[in-house]
Amino acid sequence: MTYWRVRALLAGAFTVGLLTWGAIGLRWPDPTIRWILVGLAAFWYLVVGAVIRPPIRYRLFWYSLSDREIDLQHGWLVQTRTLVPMNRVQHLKSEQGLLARRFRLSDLHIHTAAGSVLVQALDEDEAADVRARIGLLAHLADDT
Amino acid sequence: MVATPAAAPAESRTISERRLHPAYLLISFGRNLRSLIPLIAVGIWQAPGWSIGALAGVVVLLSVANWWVKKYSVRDGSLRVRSGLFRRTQDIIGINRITALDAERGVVQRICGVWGLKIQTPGNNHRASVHLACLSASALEELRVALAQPGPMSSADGPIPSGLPLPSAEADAGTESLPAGTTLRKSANAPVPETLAVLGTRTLLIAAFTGTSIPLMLAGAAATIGRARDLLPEQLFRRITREVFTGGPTTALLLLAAVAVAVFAGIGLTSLRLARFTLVREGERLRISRGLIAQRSGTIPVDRVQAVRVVEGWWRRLLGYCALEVEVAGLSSSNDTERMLFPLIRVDQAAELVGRALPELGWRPAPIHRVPVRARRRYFTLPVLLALPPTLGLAFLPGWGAYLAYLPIPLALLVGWGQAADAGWLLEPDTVTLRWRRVLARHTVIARRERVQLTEITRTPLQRRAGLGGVRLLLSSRRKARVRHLEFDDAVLVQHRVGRRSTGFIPSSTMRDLDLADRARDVASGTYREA
Repeated sequence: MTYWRVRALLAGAFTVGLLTWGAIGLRWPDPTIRWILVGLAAFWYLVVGAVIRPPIRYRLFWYSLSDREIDLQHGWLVQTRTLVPMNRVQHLKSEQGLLARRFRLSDLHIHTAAGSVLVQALDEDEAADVRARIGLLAHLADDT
Repeated sequence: MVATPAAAPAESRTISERRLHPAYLLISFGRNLRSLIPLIAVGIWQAPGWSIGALAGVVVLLSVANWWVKKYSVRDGSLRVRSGLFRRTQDIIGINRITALDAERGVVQRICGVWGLKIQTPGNNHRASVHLACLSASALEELRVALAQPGPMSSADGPIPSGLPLPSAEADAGTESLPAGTTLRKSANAPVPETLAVLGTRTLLIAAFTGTSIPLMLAGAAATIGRARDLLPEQLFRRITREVFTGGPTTALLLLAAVAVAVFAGIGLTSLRLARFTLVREGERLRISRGLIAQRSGTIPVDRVQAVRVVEGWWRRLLGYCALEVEVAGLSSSNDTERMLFPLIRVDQAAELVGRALPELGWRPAPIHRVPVRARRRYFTLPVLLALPPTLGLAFLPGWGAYLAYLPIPLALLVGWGQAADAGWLLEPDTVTLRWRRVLARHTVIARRERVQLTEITRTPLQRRAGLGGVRLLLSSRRKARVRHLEFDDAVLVQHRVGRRSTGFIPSSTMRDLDLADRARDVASGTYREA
């Protein structure tokens, strides 16, 4: 949750800063439109991104593994529940950015032939464990 | 050279390393030359004659070298292709990973009597993984035999696909197809290829009229005029328009003629592409051949077909026709002729054709469940939202343009109404059917329940309050099937029945009648509340 907040704040500070700079420096769109844009960006990143979104996202997210499938739910405005049969898993990838490393978090991509599912911001050790378990289970049921 | 059907399967599944047909030289020379055209066009003004000769020599040498190093072989259940002069590459493809074989030939290849073969595997979504540009008819035949999947049926009654007829065998009895054709008749074991459907001239014309070619041609013509306006000097363009469009009947006639040309060109293009479309079932595989001048013939292992998609375009639906497509992993998602099962067929015959071509799918057409009435009005939301920006944009147009702003919203309402009327779903023992409408075309996907890669339920807060949800299925062809709004319990039911490998099965109709769906809901929302 804190990770999401910090991330939104950082991205927001960058975007809002850029827009403010543009609003001061540029001549073209009407000043009101310029400042409305700045306000919208600030609202999106600093209020929605940092305050409203993380708790909802945190509350909605869950996942479960069984030997047959991966079942998970994520999202905040649009809530999505995904079911991946275990023998459809093609490969797994985990990713960790700089900020995520600071928080000891890691993203896990589960790839199937049709597309991938992203499990965001798992605990580092948990991600490694999940990855190992899915790898093992998916390998057992090996057919395409 | 030709593998006889009597040969042991192990033998017929190996091909020692060999090169492509020498006609490759001609074709690759042509290709190299084509890629050098800009250079030549620039150089021809300045460079002396001998340098062009030297360049041509280099091109010839390169082609020969490329042909020399490109070799293919089939060994140990995999196809190996070695190529590359400076950067050696070797592609190894397991036979059981191959999803489709596409044979095709253009005009030059046809003159030389050779075929190009594209080998498709899942994972490469836009290009063929391996392209063998030139194979003689017998080599192609041999390769087809060698790459045939050792399926369950073939192990029971011998090498099943041995002695396949050439793709052209049904379409035209070309001279090059004779040896293979004769082996077919000799072998008693091989399954007799059954021609399931041939596209007739009348249907072809309807396909051409209702297809995308004509609008594309018109759009292309409009774009050309736009470009001409940009490129030509302003005065010249004005003069041309003034002299050509003198007003009155002449202009009208000219415009009509232009439209007629576009229409005929569109029909011609479609005919070239789809003429003599033939669908053949051979044992465990489907063979599709088509094309008038540039011939194409594709093979799809039945086992690899994940789903059948029925596409009813707006015009075609009015006339009672639809197109059939197959969903196979690795077939390109951009080119719709590659995944075409049959380009145009009467709706009432479609199910029967699919039943004969793919009995494994187990599709029994049944009335589908419609979405509930309270879900229907939600289908209006998205089109209307999408129509708002153009409305605002048009409203600021000067003069009469502003009246155009009245158009988008009613159109959006119409589209939404159609989407609501068409949406539906159905579960059968082996299949799941989703039907939805994009903008004008109605899509029905009949997927093998066990073959769906991912199932997703999506819910917005508004849907949550109304107890609705959306379902999305992802197939390994990287295409989707979705119903945007339906009863949430039904969505959960679909997800559980499709995504899970359960043993028992109750058809959705019974399930709903018995109100067992409630139980499924409890299971699902139980976990949901825990979180």
